[in-house]
Amino acid sequence: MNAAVRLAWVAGFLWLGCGLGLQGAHSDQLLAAFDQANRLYEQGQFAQAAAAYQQLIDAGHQAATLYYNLGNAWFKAGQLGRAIAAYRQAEQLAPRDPYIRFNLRFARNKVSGRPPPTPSVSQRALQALSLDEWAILAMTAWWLWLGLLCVRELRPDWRRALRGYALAGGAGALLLVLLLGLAVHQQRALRLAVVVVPNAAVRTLPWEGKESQVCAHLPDGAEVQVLDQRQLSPTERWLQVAEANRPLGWIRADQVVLLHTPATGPERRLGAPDRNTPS
Amino acid sequence: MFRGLGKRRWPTALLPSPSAGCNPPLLLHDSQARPCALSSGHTGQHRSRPAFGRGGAGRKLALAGLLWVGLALTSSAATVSAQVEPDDVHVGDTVTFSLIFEGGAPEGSPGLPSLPGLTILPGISQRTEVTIQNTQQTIRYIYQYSLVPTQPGEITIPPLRVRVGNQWLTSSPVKLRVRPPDAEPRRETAPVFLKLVVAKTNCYLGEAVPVEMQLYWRERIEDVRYPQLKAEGFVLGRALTPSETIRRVGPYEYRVALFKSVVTPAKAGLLTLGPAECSLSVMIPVQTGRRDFFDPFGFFGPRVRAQPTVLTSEPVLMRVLPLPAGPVPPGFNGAVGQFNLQVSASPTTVAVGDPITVRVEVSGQGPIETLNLPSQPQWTNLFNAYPPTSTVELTDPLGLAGTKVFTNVLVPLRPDITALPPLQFSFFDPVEGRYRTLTGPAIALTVRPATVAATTLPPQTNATGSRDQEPPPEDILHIKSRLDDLASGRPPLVQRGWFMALQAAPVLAWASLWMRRRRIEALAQNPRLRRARQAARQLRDGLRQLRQQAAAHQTDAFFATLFRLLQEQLGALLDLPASAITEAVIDERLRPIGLPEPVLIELHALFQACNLARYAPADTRPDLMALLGRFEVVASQLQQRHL
Repeated sequence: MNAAVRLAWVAGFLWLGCGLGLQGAHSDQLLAAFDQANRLYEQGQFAQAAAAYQQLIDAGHQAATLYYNLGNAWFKAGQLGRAIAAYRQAEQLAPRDPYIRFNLRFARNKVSGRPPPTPSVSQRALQALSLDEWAILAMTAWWLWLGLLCVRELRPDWRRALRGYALAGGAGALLLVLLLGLAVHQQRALRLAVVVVPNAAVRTLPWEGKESQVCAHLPDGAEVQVLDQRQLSPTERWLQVAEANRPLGWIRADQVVLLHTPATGPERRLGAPDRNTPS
Repeated sequence: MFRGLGKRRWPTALLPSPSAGCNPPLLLHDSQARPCALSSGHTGQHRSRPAFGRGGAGRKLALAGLLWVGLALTSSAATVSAQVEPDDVHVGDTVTFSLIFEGGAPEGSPGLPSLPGLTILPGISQRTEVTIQNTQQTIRYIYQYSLVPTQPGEITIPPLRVRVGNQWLTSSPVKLRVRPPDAEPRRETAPVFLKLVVAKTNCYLGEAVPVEMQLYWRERIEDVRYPQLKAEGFVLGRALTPSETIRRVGPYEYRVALFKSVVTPAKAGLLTLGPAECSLSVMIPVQTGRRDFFDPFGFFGPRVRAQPTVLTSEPVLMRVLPLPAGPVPPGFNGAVGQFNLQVSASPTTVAVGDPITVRVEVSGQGPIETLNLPSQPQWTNLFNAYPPTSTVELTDPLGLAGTKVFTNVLVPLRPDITALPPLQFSFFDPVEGRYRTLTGPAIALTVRPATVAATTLPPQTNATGSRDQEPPPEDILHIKSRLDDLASGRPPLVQRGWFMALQAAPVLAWASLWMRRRRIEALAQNPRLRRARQAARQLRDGLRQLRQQAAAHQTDAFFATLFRLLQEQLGALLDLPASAITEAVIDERLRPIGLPEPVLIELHALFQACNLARYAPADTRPDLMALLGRFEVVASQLQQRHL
C-alpha cells in the first residue's frame, strides 16, 4: 500500500515536471520567434516581420503586443488597412494602451478620403475596458453583493444594519452586469472590417455585372461595418458594408479584413470564408 | 383627334431621368422667343436708365463720384469691346449690338454710323456694372443698340472709334450671319418638323449652354422617340422629360413638344451643333374610294396609315471662345459660371488631431453639379485635409443653377494654429468675360495640444520642450520588445464555462442559507413539529443506546432507557409531557385515536416488561435483543403516526 502511494506521488511529480518543462520550452520557442520577428522589423524587412507576427497569432497566441507590432510592420510595409486592422485588434485586448491608441490615430489620419471614425460616447465608455476587465469588475461586484446577502442569512441580527449596503451593492452589481452584457452585445453586434486594397469598389448588388453598378470607392484603411454577407461560391464572398450607420453597398470579402472581436471568435484571415455567420 | 403628347407613351429607354419638375424660361434666339430676349435686355435697361436718362442732379453727382472713384481705383487703361447677340439670324430678326467700356466711360452715348444691310432702331440702352472684389473695383459701361438685318449674307460691323477721356479707343469688328427670310418659314409650314434652338451661339469653352429640340406637328404622330442630338465637340448634359405647348406658326397652329437639354463645349473654335434627329410615325389619311364596312359614315375619322419618318433639324453654328490665356488664378480648376461663396467651420475649439468640419457653400449659375473645390495649398502644412464630400441642391432642372455644399474635414496638425486660412475659389465668369476669385473669411480657431500624443509619446520625445512647441508626430511609435501580455488564445472570460459556472456558487450558497433560515424560522413557530423532530432524534440516539445495553446485558439500564423512550415517543405523539405517560394512556388516549390493535398490545407488553423489571427484578436474564426488536417495530409505527 505504501509503495503504491509512493509510486503515485512520484508519477504525479513527474507529470507536473514534464508539464512545466514543456510549458517552459514552448514559452522559450514563442519568445524566440517573437524576438526573430522583432529583428526582422529592426532590419527593415517589414513584410517578413508582419508574416512572422501573423504566424504567431495564427498559432493561437493572443497578445496586444503581437497585434501592435504586427500593425507597425504592416504600416511600415505600406499596408495601411492591414495596419489599422491590427491596431484595432490590439486595442480590443488593451483598450487603454497609449502606444496602441497613438499609432491607431496616426494610421487613421493617413487614410485618404475618410475622416477618422468617431465612436459615440456610449461606445467609447464600453470600449474603455476590455471584455475580461468588464467581466472581472462585474463578477467582483456580483460576489460582494451575494456575500453580503449570505452574511445577512448567517447573522439575522445584522439584517437591518446591512439592508442599505445590500440594496446599494445589488444595484451596483446589476448595473455592472448590465454593462458587461452591453459590452458583449456591442462586440457581437458590431462586425467591423477594414479595407486593405486601394480604391475598393462598392457595388449596388453583390456581384460584378451590368446590373451591379459601382456606387462608391473606399480607400485603403477605410473602416466599415458589416451588415450582411453573400457566399456566391466557395471562393467568392460579398459583404454588405455601411459607414456611420449608412449602408454603402456590397464589397468583395477579399478586399477587406474582418476584425475579430473577443466575443465573435477567432480572427478570420483575409479572404477566408466566414463560417460563424449565416449566409 | 390628336392625342396629347404628354399622354403619349414615350419610350422609357430614351427618356431622361425624371428629375425635371418645371421648365425654366429659356432665352431663345429664334423668331418666337425673340421678344423674350428683348424683354430681358429691356429689364437691364430699366434698371440702369434712371441713373442716366431721367436722373436728377443728385444722381448725376453720385454717378460722377462713382466714375471718379472707379477711375481712381482702376489702374489699367480704358478698353472697349463689341459684341452682337445673336450672331446668326434671319432677315427681319432683331439683334443686340453692345459696346462695352471698361476702365473709363465715353463722353456721351456713342453713335453708330450707318451700317450697310442693317437698320438701326432708335434708342440706346445704357447701363453700368460695378464689381468690387478684394478691394479692387471694376466699372463696366455697356451701351446696347437694336439692329435689324435687311439683307442675307455675312455682315461685318466695322471697328468703331470712341473717345474716352483723352484717348481714342477702337472696337474690334463683329460679324453677323444673316439667313434669307424664307429659309426657315418654308420649313416651318411642314406638317411635322424638328427645330434646334440654342440659348446662345457665342459662348466660352466649358460654359454650359441650354438647348431645346422643338418638335412641331399638326398631323397625328405616333411612336415618337427622344430626339438624338449630334454634338461633336460638346458634352451632352442632362435631358429633361419633354413638355408640350401650342404655338402658332404662320397660318397654322402647331402642337410643340419641347425637349430640353444642355451642352457644354469641350473645345474652342467654330463648332456645329446638331442636327437633331427624331424618329416617329406620321399618321397619313388613306383614300380608298370605298366606304369602310365597319365605319360607313366615317364616325371614327378617316383611315390612316403610319409612315415611319426621321425628322432632322437644321444644325446650329456655334462660336466657342477659349478661356483667356491671361493671368489664370492659381486655384482655377475649370469652373465656368457665376458663383457666390460662403464658408463656415465647426467646432472652432479643438485639440490637435480632432476633426474640424468646414462647410463650403457655392451657389450661383453654371454647371453646379460638376463643380469641384480646388485644393487649398494654404491648408497643407497646417491641416490633414480629406477630400470633401458634397451635396447638391438644384434650382434649375437642367442643373445650371443651385447650390453645392462641400463638407471638408480638416484635422489640425499643430497647436499653434490660430485661424483657418481663407478658402479661395476661382472661376471664369462668361458674362464678364474674365476670371474671378472668391475668398472666404479667415475663421479663428483655438487648437489645444493633443492629450493622447502628449501622454503616449515615448519619454525620449516628450521629455524635452513644452507641449505647445512639440512638432506634429511624423511617424508611428516603435514596436514593443517585451511580450508580457500573452493570453495564448484563450476566449474571453464570459465565454468560458467554468467562469460562468463559478458565478452560480454564491447564488447557491445564498439560496441554501436562505432555506436554512426559513427552516429555522418555521421550526420556531411550530413547537409540535419541533418536538416531533426532537423525538425522532431521541429515538435514533436511544436505539443506539439500547443496542449497546442489550449487548452488554445491562438489564436495568436497558429497561430504564426503554421506558424513557416509550414516554418520549408517546408524549410527542399525544402532545403530553413525557412524565405524564403511563401504561394507562394506552387505553385512554391511544385507542381513541385509532392506533392499530397489535401496536396497542405490543405497547402494553413493553410497558409491563419495563414495570416488571423495575419493580420485580428476577434472576433470569430476559432476551433484551428480542425486546429491542419489538420496540423498533412499535417505534417505527409511532413515527409513521407522527408524520
